[in-house]
Amino acid sequence: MNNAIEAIFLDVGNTLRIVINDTDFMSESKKQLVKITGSPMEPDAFIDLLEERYKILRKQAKEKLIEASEKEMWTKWMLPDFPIEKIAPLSGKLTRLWRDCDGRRIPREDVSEVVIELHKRGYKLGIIANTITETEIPDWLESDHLSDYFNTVILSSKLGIRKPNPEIYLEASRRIGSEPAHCVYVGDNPVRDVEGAQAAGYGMMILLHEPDTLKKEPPTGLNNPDKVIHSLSELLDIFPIRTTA
Amino acid sequence: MPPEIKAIFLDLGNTLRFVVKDELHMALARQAIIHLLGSEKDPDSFCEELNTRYKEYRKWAFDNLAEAPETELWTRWLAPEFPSEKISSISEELTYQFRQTNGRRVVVEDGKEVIIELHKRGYKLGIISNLISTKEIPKWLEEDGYEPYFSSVVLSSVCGKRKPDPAIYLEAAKRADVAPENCVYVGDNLNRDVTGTKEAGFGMVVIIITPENLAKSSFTDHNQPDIIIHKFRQLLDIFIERSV
Repeated sequence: MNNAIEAIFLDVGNTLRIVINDTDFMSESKKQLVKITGSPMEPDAFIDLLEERYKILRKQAKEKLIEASEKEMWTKWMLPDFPIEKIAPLSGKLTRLWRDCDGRRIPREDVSEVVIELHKRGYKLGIIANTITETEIPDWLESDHLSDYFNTVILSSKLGIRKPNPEIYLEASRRIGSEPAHCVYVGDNPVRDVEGAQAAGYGMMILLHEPDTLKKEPPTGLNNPDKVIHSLSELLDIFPIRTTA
Repeated sequence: MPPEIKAIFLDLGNTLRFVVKDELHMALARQAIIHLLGSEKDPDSFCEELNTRYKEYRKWAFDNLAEAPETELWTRWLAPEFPSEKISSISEELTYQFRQTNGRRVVVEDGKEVIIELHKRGYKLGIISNLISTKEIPKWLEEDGYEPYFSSVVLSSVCGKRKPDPAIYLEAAKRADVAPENCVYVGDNLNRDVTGTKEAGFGMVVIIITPENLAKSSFTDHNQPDIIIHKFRQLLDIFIERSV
């Protein structure tokens, strides 16, 4: 059956990478962020203010399954009270710093090995991620020399729609050139990642068991993955070398 | 480099104070108006009539950015059928009661604490308000112990000009004896509170609105405040201890 799978799409947050609670890194990011906005407010107070605004943005993003571009995020939602001509060019940098405020992202240790091996075995690889930044994931892939192994990188911030909207999965399969039935999605969210991939008609859904995610978003029992794995390396047991007919 | 702020002027309605619909309070005020006028009319229907007439007045006030003195408000606009000598002498009390027919005013959460703290930090404080009553604010400031903290209170009913006429902001700065560029205005209305203040040359405008309303707002070059915050308390995060 696994021979039917041609393309493997991976989630990033809590699947390929985890967040480390690095307090020095986080407070430095906050400081930087406040500094480049030029806000006269106390840094902590300013961050609190931004958090209140970010909550409203998140709420509508999750309700409507849409994602604002970096520019829209900062000029419309986060800092509409700042001159647009000043904020718009800074929006990419601001988004990166805003992400860094909640921790440092590091890849799981077996990521490179698994990605390179799956590629070698003849699978097309892609990423489908809900993320507010347009540059962070491409930059990470580049710096870890993984870019060449991914045929397609789909980011909600660039596409404008979010998982679990099936459209994001359909767009991914179109771009990689494989029918949804021949695609698999690997993610850690028992609801969002399963529901969307299945609605899009993906051939398979694999859930990476991640206690942190399950605590925050327990499974509803409505959507069941095809397989559950406990480490990325288990993908190598599921996907053997592809034999092309 | 942000301007050095020496004086903070606050808006009243929906910034420092909010209206609570207290039905008993409102009914008593309607009765008080009838009593003051010595009329036999039904308080509720007479006040409805007053509100209709007040709408006409409001239109005039908005169009002219002016506020009528209380005597004129009652003799010309609200109660022209009553003898004007009699009405003139009680117009202050009538306006006071008329305002109470809308509800009871309460101070924003943490309002007093924030005001005392800003005063302690070395800022001059003031009020700039579009308000038909001359008596309401002085009475409230005295009864609730706010008087020592405010050095400049400018009401449209006294000054004759309404926001956003820059003249009312300039009058407030003058009374506080602070140059406009060292003044900040704190309000809740993106349109009315920003334009006039900027024209008057105030150094800064702060707007307090909820993040939900912020998300619904649109901005132009004319209504762009310097800072938007979401709670009155956050003023303390902007205005730190003044070094004098």
